[in-house]
Amino acid sequence: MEASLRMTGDVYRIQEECIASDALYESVLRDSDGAVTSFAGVVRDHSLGRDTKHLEYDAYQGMAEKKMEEIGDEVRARWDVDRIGILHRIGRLEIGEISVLIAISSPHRKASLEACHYTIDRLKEIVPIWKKEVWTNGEAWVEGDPSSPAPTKQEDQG
Amino acid sequence: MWLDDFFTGQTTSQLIPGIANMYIKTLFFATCREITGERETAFDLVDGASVSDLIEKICGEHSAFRSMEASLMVSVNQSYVDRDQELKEGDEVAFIPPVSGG
Repeated sequence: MEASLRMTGDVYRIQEECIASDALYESVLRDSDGAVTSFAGVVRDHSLGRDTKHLEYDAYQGMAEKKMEEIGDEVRARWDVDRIGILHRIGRLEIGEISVLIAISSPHRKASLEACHYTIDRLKEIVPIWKKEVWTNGEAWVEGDPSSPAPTKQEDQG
Repeated sequence: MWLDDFFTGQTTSQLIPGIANMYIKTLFFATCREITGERETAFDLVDGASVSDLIEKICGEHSAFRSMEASLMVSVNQSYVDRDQELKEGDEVAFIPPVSGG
């Protein structure tokens, strides 16, 4: 998409720095908005019955930010939202830290509520980011999202 | 061409006389990186080679890659592509295991 058509104020970023829960609130909210919906993904202390010590995230950074931006385009094609922010951390994350933060503003609540849900689901399908679980006695990369089926090539390109 | 001369030192056995070769920057992530042992490398392929040809080349160097390659997505210049995608000099290819962000 040409720069001139890109909505200003959107944020799509992979970062090593910690993410505060309100990091995107100010940047997405404008006077014309009646709602901001945000979602934070947080590192929990267990996975499939095992105790997690910490997580390590890796990303194909350039492509990941590009794919986040594409999700923003998909959101705008479906809902009347104002601004979109997506932050995702890489590196070592401790229990309780935020791995992903999404915030979307809209004039009316329904648009940002639905768009936020769509955005986190889509991020888990197409954005090239991986997490490695580290336990007390081992570690392994997680492949795919156990809670949803793998995306097809067509969906990815559509 | 001077570039061919430059690269001849390390890849003489893989260069085919009379046929242009291209160097393809290739990225591996997560489990792919553990199998190949590197995050970023370059492969030389004959002109007109496809993603499938690149995969064959990698399998030749890392046999464990063959058992996993069917589960991978492939991107060229940061867009997902099919395996019959033709490659050209300067392309950046990445092998992308099922993603697990969020």
